[in-house]
Amino acid sequence: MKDVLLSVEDLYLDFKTYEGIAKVLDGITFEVRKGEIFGIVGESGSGKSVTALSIMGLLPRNAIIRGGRIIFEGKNLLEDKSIYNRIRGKEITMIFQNPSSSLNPVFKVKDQMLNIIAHHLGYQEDEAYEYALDLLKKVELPDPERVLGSYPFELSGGMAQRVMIAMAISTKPKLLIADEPTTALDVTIQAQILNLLKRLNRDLNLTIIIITHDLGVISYMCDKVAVFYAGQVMEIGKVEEILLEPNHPYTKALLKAIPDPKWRGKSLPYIAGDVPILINPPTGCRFNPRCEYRKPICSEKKPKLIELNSGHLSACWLNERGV
Amino acid sequence: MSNLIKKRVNKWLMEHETVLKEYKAAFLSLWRNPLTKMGLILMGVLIFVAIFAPYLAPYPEQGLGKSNMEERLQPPGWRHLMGTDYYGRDILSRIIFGTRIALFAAVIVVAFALAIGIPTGLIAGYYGGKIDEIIMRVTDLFLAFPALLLAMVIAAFLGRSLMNALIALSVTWWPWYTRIIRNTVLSIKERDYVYAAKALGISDWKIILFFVLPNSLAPIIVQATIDMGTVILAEAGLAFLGLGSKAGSPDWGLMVYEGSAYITTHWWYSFFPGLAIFIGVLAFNLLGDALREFLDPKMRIRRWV
Repeated sequence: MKDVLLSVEDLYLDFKTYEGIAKVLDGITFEVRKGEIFGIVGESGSGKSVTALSIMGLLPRNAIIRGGRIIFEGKNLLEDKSIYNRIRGKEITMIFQNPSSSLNPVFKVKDQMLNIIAHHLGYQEDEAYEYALDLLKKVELPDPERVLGSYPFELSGGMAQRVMIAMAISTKPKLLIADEPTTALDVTIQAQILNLLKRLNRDLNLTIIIITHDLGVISYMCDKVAVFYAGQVMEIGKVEEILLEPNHPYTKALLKAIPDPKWRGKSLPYIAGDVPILINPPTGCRFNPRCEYRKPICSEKKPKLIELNSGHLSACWLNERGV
Repeated sequence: MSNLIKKRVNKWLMEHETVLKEYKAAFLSLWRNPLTKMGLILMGVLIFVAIFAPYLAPYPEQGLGKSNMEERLQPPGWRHLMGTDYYGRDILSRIIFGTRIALFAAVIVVAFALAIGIPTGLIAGYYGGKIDEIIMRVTDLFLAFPALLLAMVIAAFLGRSLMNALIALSVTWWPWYTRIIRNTVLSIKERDYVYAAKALGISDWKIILFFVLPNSLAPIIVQATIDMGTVILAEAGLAFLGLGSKAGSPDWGLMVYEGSAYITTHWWYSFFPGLAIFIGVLAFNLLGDALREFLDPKMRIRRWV
């Protein structure tokens, strides 16, 4: 399709560990269109962050890509690593979970921002300073001059995340990957940062992939969402569809586990069983040992993502006729 | 004219007011610890003595080696506060000139070790893999070679001199720095800000220079300071064994050696140079400990209270 910015196709990735080979990603597939906010939701260890790092080309040394393609604007990033020198930080950027530790502690914000701006855009000092002020205003930091003259430890988490966002958008990227951008922040700041990202998405036509385990963030922010479980994509669709009419048993179980004030005093519902250890994952659909609708075929073969209706895909044998 | 200079100085002070305040606060917090205070004072005295040796020494020409046969082996007294040696030279003057040799040795060896150790450590730690393996095996090779033996070999080849002793020390010293830097880099390169920098598209060498190096410096600064003391000791050791400074030079280690033949009858001959070595090593060690405490983020809270 023409307006697809990024597509990840059948990505298989292993990690070499001392205990053995962990099969971390098992055929991850999704596509992100220009201008949308795409959510990736899943538990810890479901492969969300690893997927983001593979898109950025920042995988640790012990990661091995077994197969698949990551296509950004028609070019396969896995085929030609040299593309990264051109696009990383310029066309695709990323912000991280712990804003306070994402800034270099030994330099002032000003030095770090000017460095980035000079590095990518080649601005002279005065010009770069003006631009940095401009960016900080764009991310709604009050008193940008004082922020520029501060060391990172003098900033609060929310301020640091705004600085990170300002640095990330300094090169007018096409895609911003936000890996749990608000997990380390308190609730009010969280809302402010999310609103900021939303506004940047609208004003700069910035495509955003937001990774989180918080369904609240997903429902507030995203146009589309992919549900990850143990390195497999369970379900992809528009946010309303996924949250209101989930198809996949895992998504259903996940939504059921959101606490409700009405349950005060009762024990919380949960999904029985444990997240699988990826060194020896369940065969077939990796959710099958915990699934209440399990069938024999579930542990034999991995279900394909099937389009239920326009843009709503689910990987479950229940959708397959004649099984 | 002086008005102009005054204006310039004032302007500079105004512009750098906050930075100067920070330095002042840092210095005061160091000064508060009595041991640190002692280290700083000793260090100041050593540097002062080294610079102004010709003006401080009561007999500068004897300090540099001129003999004075009429007053051989005099005990400490008003004419010679620390007595005289076999050639009648004033030991105090010689110790004062020896400060220059000691500090020179410390600075040269540590500077060389840093110059080689920092780049190799950064590269080994940051890139890892084969290049790491190669660099670390080379350091092992050097570490396996005893410093003393190497010094003897070099002295045998190049002749006995202070410079050759320093070459021997330098060659065996740098691998420690490679190791320390590498180990620090291994943890620093996994920090969030390094990942963030990569995600922002900053090139490898800029990440090494501006993100990894400045954040890895603390342990190296501490080690380098303490090592300056150790180098003084090692250089004195080589001199004592006749592998360092040539006979007649006011090297502390050499003086201890010369005095050792008279130790039962003329105690001051070895004692005062030995004391000088002790003070030199102590000064650097106190300073190193102070810096370790100062640079450790866990101590920072205590520092500002």
